[in-house]
Amino acid sequence: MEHLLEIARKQADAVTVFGTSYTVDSVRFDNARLKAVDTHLNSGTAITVAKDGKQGFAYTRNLIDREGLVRDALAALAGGVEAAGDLPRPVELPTLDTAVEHVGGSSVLVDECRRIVEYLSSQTKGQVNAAATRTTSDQRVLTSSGVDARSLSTSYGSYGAVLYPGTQANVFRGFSAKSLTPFPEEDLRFVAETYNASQKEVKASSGRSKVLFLPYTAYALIWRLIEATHARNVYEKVSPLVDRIGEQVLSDKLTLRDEPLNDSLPGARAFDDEGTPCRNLTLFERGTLKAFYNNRFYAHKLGVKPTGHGWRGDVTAQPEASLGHLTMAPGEHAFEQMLKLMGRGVIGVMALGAHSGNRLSGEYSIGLAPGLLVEDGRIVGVIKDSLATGNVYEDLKKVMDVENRVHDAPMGYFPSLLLDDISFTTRS
Amino acid sequence: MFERLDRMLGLVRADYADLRCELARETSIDFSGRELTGLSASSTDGFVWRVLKNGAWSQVSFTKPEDAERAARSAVENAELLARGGARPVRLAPSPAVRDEYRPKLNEDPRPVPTEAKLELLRRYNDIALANPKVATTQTGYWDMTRDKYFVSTDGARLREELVTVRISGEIVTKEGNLTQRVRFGFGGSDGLARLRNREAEMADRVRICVDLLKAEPVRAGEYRAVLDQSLAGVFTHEAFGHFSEADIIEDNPTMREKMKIGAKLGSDVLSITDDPTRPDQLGFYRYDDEGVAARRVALMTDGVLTGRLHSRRTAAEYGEPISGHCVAQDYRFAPIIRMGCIFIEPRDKTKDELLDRLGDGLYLCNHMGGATIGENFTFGAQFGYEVKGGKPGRMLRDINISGNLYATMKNLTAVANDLTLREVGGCGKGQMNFRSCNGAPHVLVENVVVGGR
Repeated sequence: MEHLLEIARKQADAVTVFGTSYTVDSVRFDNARLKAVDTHLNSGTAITVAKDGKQGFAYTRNLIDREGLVRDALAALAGGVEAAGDLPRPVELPTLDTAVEHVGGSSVLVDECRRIVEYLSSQTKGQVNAAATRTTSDQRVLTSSGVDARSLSTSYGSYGAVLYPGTQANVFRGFSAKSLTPFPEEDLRFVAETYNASQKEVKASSGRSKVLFLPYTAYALIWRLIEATHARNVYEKVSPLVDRIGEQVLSDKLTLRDEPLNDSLPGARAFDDEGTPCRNLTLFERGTLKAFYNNRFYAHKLGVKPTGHGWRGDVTAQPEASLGHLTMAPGEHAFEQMLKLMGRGVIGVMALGAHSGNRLSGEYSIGLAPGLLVEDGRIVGVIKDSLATGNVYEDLKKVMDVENRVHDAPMGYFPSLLLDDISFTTRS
Repeated sequence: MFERLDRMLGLVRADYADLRCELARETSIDFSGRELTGLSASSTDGFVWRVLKNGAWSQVSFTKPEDAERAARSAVENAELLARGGARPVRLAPSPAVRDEYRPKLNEDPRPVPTEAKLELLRRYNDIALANPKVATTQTGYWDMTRDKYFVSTDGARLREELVTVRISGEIVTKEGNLTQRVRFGFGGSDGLARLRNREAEMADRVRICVDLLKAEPVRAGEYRAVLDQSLAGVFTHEAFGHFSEADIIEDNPTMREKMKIGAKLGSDVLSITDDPTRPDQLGFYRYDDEGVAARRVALMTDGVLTGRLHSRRTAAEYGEPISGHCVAQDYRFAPIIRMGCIFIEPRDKTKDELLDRLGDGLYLCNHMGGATIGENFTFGAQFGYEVKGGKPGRMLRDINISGNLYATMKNLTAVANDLTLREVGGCGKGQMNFRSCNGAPHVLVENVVVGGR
């Protein structure tokens, strides 16, 4: 990478080189039987050059032809993409505990999945699926301004699920850590007990209802907040939260933070993929809008300091403003207590179509896959073909309760959210 | 290249092995509103091993040629672990070891076209949107990718096929007061850059729809009869039905496998569904899949009866059904999995207006806005719709999501029009993206559609 930087800096005003390599081992059990053991050994290098206020980008997986890669990046200058301002300066970064050496081959993943499968199979009559994945990654950012930041990290993830007959709708829990850690017993019990309690297919009525959004459904609502706090949507003035910093826009039960420096979780980072130092950022504090997040490009456009949220989904992509370490603060009550508080209502186990609809304005209309009917504080059955619909800027003001524990979910770590007076539609 | 791959193939001690190598060239340009936010043209490559040993099947992707031996060793070790761990024994259905090279005929090859010309083409469409004062912003992108794929196997297969994909796509955002609306657009295909030219009128029409949505009313929740347009019906075909025609999705789900038996009457008499990657001039075209099997047309449903399934060599052997050539990878980073190539509802003889007449009162739902399925249940968004009274579309509606049950909906699909249209922009995310996944349908009439609303 140093050689690449040297080649490029002779022909450009500013250069950023990003390198990544990672190894992924994964194991999957379908219907309680070992199905797949796979490995990925991948790497890549990306370069961004700036010259005369313009910026060019190129990438490769296989860094054989350094001159060719620099040539591609320099050629892209002709497009006229505005450069993203000054490069970050080298600073002392906090030392994070991000890597724990993986022990054993893929057989240890097989053993852990088998343990999950045996427990769930012994407790339920449903089809049981499980999987485990572990990753070792090495990421480095070099800039012509002197930044040389490197992160070695390990991560581990697993899940257990029990499927309802005739479908792939399931009760599911995911778990992650920095290295292989047994799937929590309480999550295994949650999956088995929730599945067993919801065997009977029941009908419900459409109308306004309390809805308990489990983490794999709650993320659909939080996704709308992620879009609204994105610097691009603030810069383009299409976010409904523009000019509302300091305003209470959600229930005071909701606090949402991005915590890249929290190294109790896997994937902590002291610098982002542009070399900007990371910092923990509170987006909503007790429902009050506190901040927007950005990458260098949109920080430059907005005339603010970069927040350290320039992440690449893959080496093929330029750093986009995104939230890689999102956590919602837990509440006070356990899941069972939330059911009692709910009395009668619907649980959304997983969300179908979370991405569809007008996310930017906060609208959502998600299929519940499945919905579970709750009466007298107990789960009494499963509802098919149902939707929860609304707008997060109205519905996240109606928070009755927040679970006292966060769980792995798409886009972050979230608790279950109990909301009142939600539009619920199902087949009559 | 073939000699190099043959040498790598010699590294593996297994009952069967294949190796795929891809050399890729990608151009990407992005606007956010008037801001040009990205432009790049890059070259890259990668490899994927697949190994069968002791009746177990494993796959390893790698990017550095010097990792070939380590990756091969991992693939063999993984297969041995699967065999020891009780995985169901794997067989591969026989397939001719083909030796062939194929390059598609293109109506304007994007490679020699300067990046600046592609930028100007994209800018022209972006400017059409931004010229309207109600348009608050856009997200528009140009993308082309050429994948030069090489495939060798210990059976003696030696294949090279080139895939060229182009697209211009994005979304338009309109705003009035606090209300914002968005509409997607996309042009593209696998038959050359010319497909992206001269689409200005369609772009202007998308802008008009997005502006009109500012005056539309939110749909009311309920159960409706509805006519779905080609886009929405095509996504239904792909998401709700198509994925369960992929043998790997249901092979370990005994209750779904029982329901999806060949010969089962699952749909109404008017419903016939086909997947055909060999159909020319459509996004999903390919000649050979990523395990060297020639692609072929599969009649998945004929007059409501399940008549076929999409397979890899492994699942064809497992089910005892014919190979179909549908085992496809996103790119050089992934082992292939079973994918739809070009799935569509076969057209019938009615016109769209005849379907609306038959609908009488109900909804006319247009343009998909994302969909998802989980077993027999599905949810799709429509970008917009119209209230229909007496067969005539009236008020425009917004914020529309529909939910349903696959089996009930296939029986409730009671009329099919004659106006088949195939999508030009793909994007199926079954574990890995497939940007060339094509689907389509004519207009269809469906009874008892559950629509969410506030």
